[in-house]
Amino acid sequence: MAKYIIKRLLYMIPVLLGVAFLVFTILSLTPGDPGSIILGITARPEDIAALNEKFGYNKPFLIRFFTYIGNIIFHHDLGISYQTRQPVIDSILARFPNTLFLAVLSMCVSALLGVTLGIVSAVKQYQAIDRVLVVTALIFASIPGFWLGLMLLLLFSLKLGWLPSFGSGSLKNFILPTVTVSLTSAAGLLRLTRASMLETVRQEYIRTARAKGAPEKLVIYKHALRNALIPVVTTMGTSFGASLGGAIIAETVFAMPGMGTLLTTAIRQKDIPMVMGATLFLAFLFSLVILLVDILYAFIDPRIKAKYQNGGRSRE
Amino acid sequence: MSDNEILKVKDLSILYKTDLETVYAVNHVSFTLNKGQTLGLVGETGAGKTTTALGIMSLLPKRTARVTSGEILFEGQDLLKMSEKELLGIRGQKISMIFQDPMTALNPVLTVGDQIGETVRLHNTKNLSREEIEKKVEDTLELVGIPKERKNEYPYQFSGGMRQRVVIAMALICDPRMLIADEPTTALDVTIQAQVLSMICDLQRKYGTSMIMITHDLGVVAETCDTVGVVYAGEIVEYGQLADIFAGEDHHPYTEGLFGSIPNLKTKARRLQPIEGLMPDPTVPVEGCRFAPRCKYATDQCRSKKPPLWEKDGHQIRCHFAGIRKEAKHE
Repeated sequence: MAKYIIKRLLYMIPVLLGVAFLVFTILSLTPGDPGSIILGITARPEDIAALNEKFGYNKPFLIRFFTYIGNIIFHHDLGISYQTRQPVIDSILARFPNTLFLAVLSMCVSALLGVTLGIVSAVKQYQAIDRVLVVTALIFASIPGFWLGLMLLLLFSLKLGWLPSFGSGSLKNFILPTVTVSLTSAAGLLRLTRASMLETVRQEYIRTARAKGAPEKLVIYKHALRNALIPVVTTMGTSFGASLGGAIIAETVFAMPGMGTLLTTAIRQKDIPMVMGATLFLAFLFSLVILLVDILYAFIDPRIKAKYQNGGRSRE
Repeated sequence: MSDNEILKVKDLSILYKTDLETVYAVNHVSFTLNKGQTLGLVGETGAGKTTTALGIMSLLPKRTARVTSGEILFEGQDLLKMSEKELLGIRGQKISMIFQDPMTALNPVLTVGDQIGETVRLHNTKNLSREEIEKKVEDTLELVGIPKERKNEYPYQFSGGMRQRVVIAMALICDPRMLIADEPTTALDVTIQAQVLSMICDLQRKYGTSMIMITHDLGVVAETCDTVGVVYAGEIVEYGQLADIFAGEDHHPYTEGLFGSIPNLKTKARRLQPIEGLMPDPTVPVEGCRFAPRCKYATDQCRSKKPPLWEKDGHQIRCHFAGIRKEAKHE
């Protein structure tokens, strides 16, 4: 198992290099140079050229790329932002806790809601409660996040005045963004859990369990749930990984400083070090989350564990 | 119901109803299983054998299946009238089942020891301690020929034959009074089939368990059964002692057809004689004899009128011509 994890961690190096190269290339292909964007169109060409030279932007593409990678590897330096003139890592670390907190909170809420209600829905298939849940899930899955966020804002901040409408200072600030993000993903998880459970309870080993005289609760929670969870865990993992990149809509609606707005602003301003730094940071975290999900599989399904122990080769 | 009988199924009918169609899976089936004996239900795929078994276990899919008539008396009590709670005490403890496909009948994420022990934990009437249950699991594993050290392994680590042994261990660990074996050897290699079959029979004899053996293999029937019911399209068309079916003079044409479909080493035949045609569509209620469309002796009477039950010394045949028409010797 340890061997497998080390192998997977080493695989992350080429992945991150690939991401860095791709993003760096795309940024270089977009029109405009940092000098003229920062100084504006009224600036003198000499000043623009001087600034570009200071940033090293006038050097050839590959030299810039390898200098950047070299700085990361040998000096652990993600560079200085063109816009704020502050180290990129400081901006990331200032924003990331908000994003992480929101992502963890939303994942917990949506997993709790989505998975439990999904099980209920599957167990009570075609009964009234199932129909209500399925329709509600469909509605929430279809509502655009920004609209839901705005409506919540309108109701709870403006009309009722219960919750703050912007900022990230206290726990209260996180309630509305969490609800906005988690309702949508809970709806998806509910539908997935329901489908996966219904598929699992049709399996023959469920009939075997019933034939042994196992009561319904045991059949569902011991025999069916673990088998049904694999696709659910996959989806939860990827959506958690994605939400580490910031919930851009929730951050924008609730004016919360997070990774999503940091990244979009940096892209708009062509703040190359900031875009590169944030992207690499997120790619690194995303790969870690995916690895965690894969490790989690091993604990759910012994067949996958055995595969890892055999160095990736299945016995079957 | 006499003391000698453990299970008596009377006039059992089961249908599956969906929004689109109604499938008449089991139609007025009656049979009796004596204590310590084996009853064979033979017939082709889709004849309603497994539905009958699931009906006895009350494991029919709740949403679609309906029992429309009959009773299932187990030790004098009607299983169909029991509450779910009472049934939980019967399933796995008094009646247990061996399933057809060992590759899918075991839960892939639980160890075999856990799955075998679960039956005991669910029916722990003797208040066995955890250690005693573990001991019992180990003993049962050894009984079915699996080293006890393997109890912490998962199903994927076992071959098909070994898995079927695990399924058998799971069914037998509570010493059930009755065992339903639903095609226990169909999914196995021919070489393993004989092993598993003789093991089931040895264990059955050792513990005096009564058994229903569901199969489409007449060889299996000949080796294991005392009484045989030949099932066709959800009906028992012929029912009797093993000797009646294999050596008797009078037969249902379908039984004749079944025997004609297996190779015989003694007679020199160029080809087997299959039964022409397919089983009737189970969604259509039938007026006359269900076998009439495939029967080479069928007359207009067969097609329009339901055949009565002919009986001679407990040998029953559902055919208009039973006892009149003698078996045509097949080449």
